Amino acid sequence: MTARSVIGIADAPDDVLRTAAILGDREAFEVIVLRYGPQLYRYARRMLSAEGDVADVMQETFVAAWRQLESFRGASSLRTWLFAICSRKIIDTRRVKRAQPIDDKLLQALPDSTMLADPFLAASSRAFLNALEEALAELPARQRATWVMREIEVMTFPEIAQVLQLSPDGARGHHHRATATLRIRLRRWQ
Amino acid sequence: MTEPDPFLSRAASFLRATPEPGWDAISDQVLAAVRAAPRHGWPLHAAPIPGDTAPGSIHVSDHALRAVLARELRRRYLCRPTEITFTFDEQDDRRLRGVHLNIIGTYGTELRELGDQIRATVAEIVRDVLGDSETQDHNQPIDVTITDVVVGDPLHSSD
Repeated sequence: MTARSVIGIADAPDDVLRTAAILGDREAFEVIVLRYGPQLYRYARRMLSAEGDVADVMQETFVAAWRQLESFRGASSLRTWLFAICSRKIIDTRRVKRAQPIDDKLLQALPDSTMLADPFLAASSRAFLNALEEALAELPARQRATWVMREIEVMTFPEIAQVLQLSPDGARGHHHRATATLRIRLRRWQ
Repeated sequence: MTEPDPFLSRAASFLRATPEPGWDAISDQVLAAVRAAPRHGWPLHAAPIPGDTAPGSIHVSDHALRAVLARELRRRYLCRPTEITFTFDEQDDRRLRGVHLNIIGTYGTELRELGDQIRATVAEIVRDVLGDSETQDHNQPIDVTITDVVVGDPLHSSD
């Protein structure tokens, strides 16, 4: 038996897709785009001020990845490599969302008693999530980037360090400061 | 070391699970941009269409030929191409002189039969892409090396 019965590669592991895409298989690369697009998008939209810039950065990230893939030899994971390209494109736009001081009242609006019991019930009204997004926007860019990659994307500190060109301890320090600030800013929801 | 914060961790996992409609709105645009992005390649001589007497020549990039081979072999056979290289004649307008492929197969496959089928398919694709005379005039070797065999579908086993 030599013929293939199932053609799809949507479930193929990253290194298989990477090798195929290096050979020029665009279908394999499109699986990579669809697999990592949502993660990169939610990172980029928290780092940039304008929605239009997010779309541009996503496009530039994947076009650059397609062109540079032949020189990527797998020293990091495919995901880390894509985040590093995305992070550089975000800096290149020069429109990184700056730390935005906001009115304390926005973050400290007292929830009612049921919300205190479980803020995630309250999140259905978006109020808590809005407060969290506001608090994230308030963080300096590197702290925000580190917190998003660590907590939302579940990346390790060495991976984050590679993306942001920091030492792992530097990444850990940014995360620590971000977490401390978020705890304070969101204390009324806990 | 940062102490884990259960409250913030739970909030983060909530954000992780939240759909990103913004990505859905731009994903087609991103895919279109990637499809339109060329990659650098080296030219290979291609035969003109029979009867075409206009002066000049046709070349096809080695990247374009490699891409078609990689996709078609992966689609047709229970195999996984991992390397496809070409030899060509620099002194003769970069005419193709050979195709060399590394392939991962699967246990239970008759590997020599797989190799023969791959060679036939490669010859057919080269003929389609570079033209009949390119393959008839020069008897290019097509070398297939099965570098590994894995259990199950090679497209679903990691390196």
